[in-house]
Amino acid sequence: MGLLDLTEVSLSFGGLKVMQALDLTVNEGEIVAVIGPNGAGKTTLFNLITGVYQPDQGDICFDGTSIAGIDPNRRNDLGMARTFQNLRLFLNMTVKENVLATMYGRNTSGIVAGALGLPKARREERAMHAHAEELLAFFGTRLQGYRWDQPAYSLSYANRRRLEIARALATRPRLLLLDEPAAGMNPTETHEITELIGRLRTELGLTVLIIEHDMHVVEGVSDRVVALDYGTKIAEGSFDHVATDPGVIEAYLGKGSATK
Amino acid sequence: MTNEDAPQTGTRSIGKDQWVEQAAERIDNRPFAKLRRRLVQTPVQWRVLGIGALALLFALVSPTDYTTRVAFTVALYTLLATGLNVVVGWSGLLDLGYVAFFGFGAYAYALLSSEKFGLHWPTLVSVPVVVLGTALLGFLLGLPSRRLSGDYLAIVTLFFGQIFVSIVNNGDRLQLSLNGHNVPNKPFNLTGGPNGVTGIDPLSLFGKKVHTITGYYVVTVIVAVVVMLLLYRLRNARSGLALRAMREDPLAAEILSVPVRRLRLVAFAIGAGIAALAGTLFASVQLSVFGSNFDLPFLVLMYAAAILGGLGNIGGGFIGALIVAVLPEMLRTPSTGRALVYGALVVFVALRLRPWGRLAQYLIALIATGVLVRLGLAAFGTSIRPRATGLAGMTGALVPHLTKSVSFGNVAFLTLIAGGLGLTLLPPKWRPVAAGVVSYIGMLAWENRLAEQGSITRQLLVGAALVAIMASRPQGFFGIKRVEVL
Repeated sequence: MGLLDLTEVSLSFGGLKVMQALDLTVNEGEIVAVIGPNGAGKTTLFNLITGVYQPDQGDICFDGTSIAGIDPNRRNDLGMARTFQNLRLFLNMTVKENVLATMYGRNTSGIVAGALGLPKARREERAMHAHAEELLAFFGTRLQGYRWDQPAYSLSYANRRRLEIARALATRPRLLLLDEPAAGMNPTETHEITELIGRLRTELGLTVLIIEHDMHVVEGVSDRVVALDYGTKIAEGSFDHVATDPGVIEAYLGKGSATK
Repeated sequence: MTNEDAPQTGTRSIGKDQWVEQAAERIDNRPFAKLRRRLVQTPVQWRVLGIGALALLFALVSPTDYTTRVAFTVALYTLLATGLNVVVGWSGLLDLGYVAFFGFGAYAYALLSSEKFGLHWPTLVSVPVVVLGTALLGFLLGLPSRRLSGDYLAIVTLFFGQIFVSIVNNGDRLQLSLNGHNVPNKPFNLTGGPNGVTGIDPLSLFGKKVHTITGYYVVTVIVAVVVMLLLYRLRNARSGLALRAMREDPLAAEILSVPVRRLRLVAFAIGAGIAALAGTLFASVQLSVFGSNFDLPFLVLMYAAAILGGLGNIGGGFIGALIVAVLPEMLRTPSTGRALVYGALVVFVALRLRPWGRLAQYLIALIATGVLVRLGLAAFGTSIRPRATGLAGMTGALVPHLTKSVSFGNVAFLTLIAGGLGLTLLPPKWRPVAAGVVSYIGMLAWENRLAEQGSITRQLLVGAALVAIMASRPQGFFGIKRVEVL
């Protein structure tokens, strides 16, 4: 049994079946990539795992216990965090505040303690700030210095993606779900992101489930690749295995493309 | 890990960013760099305390009870706008029942400490009870609406506000009919209905009763400063950050560990508590409360204060309160009103009509209009004689001091409105000229009609001023421009 187990998970919106009896296991310490053409159900998969949608059928287990019906914020407390494909930063808060805000679940001081500035709250805030600085340092000088106090909307696209990752890390997850972390990045930045994902595992000991279209990234980081199409798993295995799978090529390029 | 593209400078440096590295240099090169830095480095707490101290000083130099009363209103509105800022500004909950909490606090204090039921709870007991009770009410009101947001929440809370006024106005004959029996036998008078509750105890603090308006002013300023300081602390604490994140993106916040639904209730409760605190001060200074004190127009006024100051900015509440409380008072007497109007005109001309060419166009148009009006009047040999002073008077070496005429003023006023609307449609090139014409008509309308009708003019001018302020600074005075979608 892995860190994350999906068994026979199905979801439909009206008559549209967006997820059909999907089985997926992610083991502790693994980096698994999910690929598939647009509309294959990749982001839906993330929404099911994080609790935005509830599955019609099937069960989702995290660390051996079922998390069906649990609120998204409680799921985060259990140890999963995600980034968003279309970027959902707290745009009008500063870079540092973005990271601090999501530490809510890992801290305890209440409203009264915070307003009065009781020693416990102050101690906790100092630790939060130290942790935030440490996390932002993960991305070189990109999110350093005066950028801490700049609103998130002033960041470039690539930096916003980095901040999304930092913000997710701030919740101290065990499982990190990355939704297209390299989208919109140039080749150098893509290279950096690939490196960074590797470091997430080696330095922070994270398990990573990643959706990515850039095959360089997928090839570079993943232990295992899962290909989806129309809400079903069409292939699973090593990158080379999935990349040469006729079903996968067909899904991307259309029927008849796999036959030479 | 290796990176061929960028040279490595340290173990942790994946990417380097020149723009970031030169940031300090750029900041030093800005004008007034030292002054700016000193201002930014002054902790917000000290700034609040400084303004609070100045406000207290005003109590000593205030010439009359009337000015102290206006100052008290500013302090009270500051407190209310600050509370509203937590609910709307930080948490993004459109709470249209906010004034009901203010009213609930006022009534609760009135019932606990007044002749009404002969309960004379001491201030230091009744105020905390009222504040906590109202916060609990806010929490309870939030419960059924915690899954609502945006428009739906606004509708529910608006109903709550209206129901509160309804209950208060009809709460003087409470009686249930059960199986033909009336319970209780005589209708129970809880709220006094339209007659309100009177004979409320004044505040008594540390054995001293507060009787003067100056005393209430001082108390309210201290309360407002303390509340602001607490909220400034909370803003950057764990809960404050979570509340603000909730406004920015509730879904992302919830997925990243913020219990959005619970925090909505908490935000409601904080806002309700602060409003109730203001309510107790209001009830005790008035010594009476009426349902009509807590009606919709007052809600709009509070929203105007919060928005003018800059939603989400605690200090902004003070600026907003200052505007909505002082502006109508200043326009109460025609002479200060005149000073204000001409002052605003001069400021507008100085700010917007640059460079000199445009200013010249404006002045020429102004004078030319004066000449034309004068010539027109002479040509028709009419008995209509507009009165002109101020700037209009100056251009009017040409327009001699003439007697007033109501109908002339009315025509000028209508022309002014049409001209003002037309002004926005003109291509920019013609605006200075048109502005000159419109200003002249405005001055004519002001001198001949508006100055005579103080109460109506006041409303018109306050409205115009608010529109002008909001148009020129949509994010409010202290507000930071918000970016929604990029």
